[in-house]
Amino acid sequence: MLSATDQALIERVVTTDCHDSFGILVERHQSDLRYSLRQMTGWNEALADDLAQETFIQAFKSLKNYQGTAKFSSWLYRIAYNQMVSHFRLARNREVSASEEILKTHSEQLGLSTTSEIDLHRDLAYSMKALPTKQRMAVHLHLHRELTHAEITAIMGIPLGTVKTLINRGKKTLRDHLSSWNPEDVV
Amino acid sequence: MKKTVDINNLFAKARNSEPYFSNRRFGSRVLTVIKLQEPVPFWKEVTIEMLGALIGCGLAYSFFPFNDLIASIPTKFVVGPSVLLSIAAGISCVIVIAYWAAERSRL
Repeated sequence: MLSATDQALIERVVTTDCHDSFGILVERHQSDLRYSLRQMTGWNEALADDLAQETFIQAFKSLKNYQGTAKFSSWLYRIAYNQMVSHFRLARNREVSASEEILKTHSEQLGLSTTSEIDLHRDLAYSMKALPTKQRMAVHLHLHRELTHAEITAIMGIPLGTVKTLINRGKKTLRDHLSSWNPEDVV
Repeated sequence: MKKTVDINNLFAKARNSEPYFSNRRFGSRVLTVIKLQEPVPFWKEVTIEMLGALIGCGLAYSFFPFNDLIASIPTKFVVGPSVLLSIAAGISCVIVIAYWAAERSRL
């Protein structure tokens, strides 16, 4: 069953309510999603995992509505994006102050910490926090997940032109925030 | 002079060194929550409630002294000044509590 395609597993879950099949889907996609959500939340591991958990629970409930026109991972990202947007909307004030705090501490540390791969991931996540939620998602999906503009449009439910603008603006802001980074330092 | 960083290169490095997060605890937690959140079927819920109500009625009928309770209900009421005063005091208390609650919710 481990080699079954996502579509076959989804059909099994929908028709027989098979939790094991859904477990395989979770296993297949959880790491990517949890990493992406860490990037979206300024490497807040607890929050990212909570959002990922909610995403999978929502996906399980709505699996009947999955039409298979997009990749299952893209569909998951769409749910995750909606979860994230509603989370940040609910906790807007708290999140703003928290992100400011993170950025302040981070900018003091940037360049001083020992450069390693995990620093790169965290630094990227911290810097992404400077971007508005939509920009953050668009930049991550484009630059990290290498999705096309059309795929990002489908995931975020916004026009193609807006996606391009978000990515360009996001890249510009990130360039400023990460100016002290030298990719050659990564060991 | 301000250094410029190659964002594409940086993200490529991040992509190639992306960590894998273990599914061991995460996966089981997701499946447990899904199992817990599964709605109880309607017929099951109704059966449990009916059974509970029947057992409750049976216990109440066998243990509760209904005859004594019915006998203790007064058959006539005498409305004197002290009763009237008590009723007025009760109404005043209710009004004060309602006013306080309304004011508190407005703040």
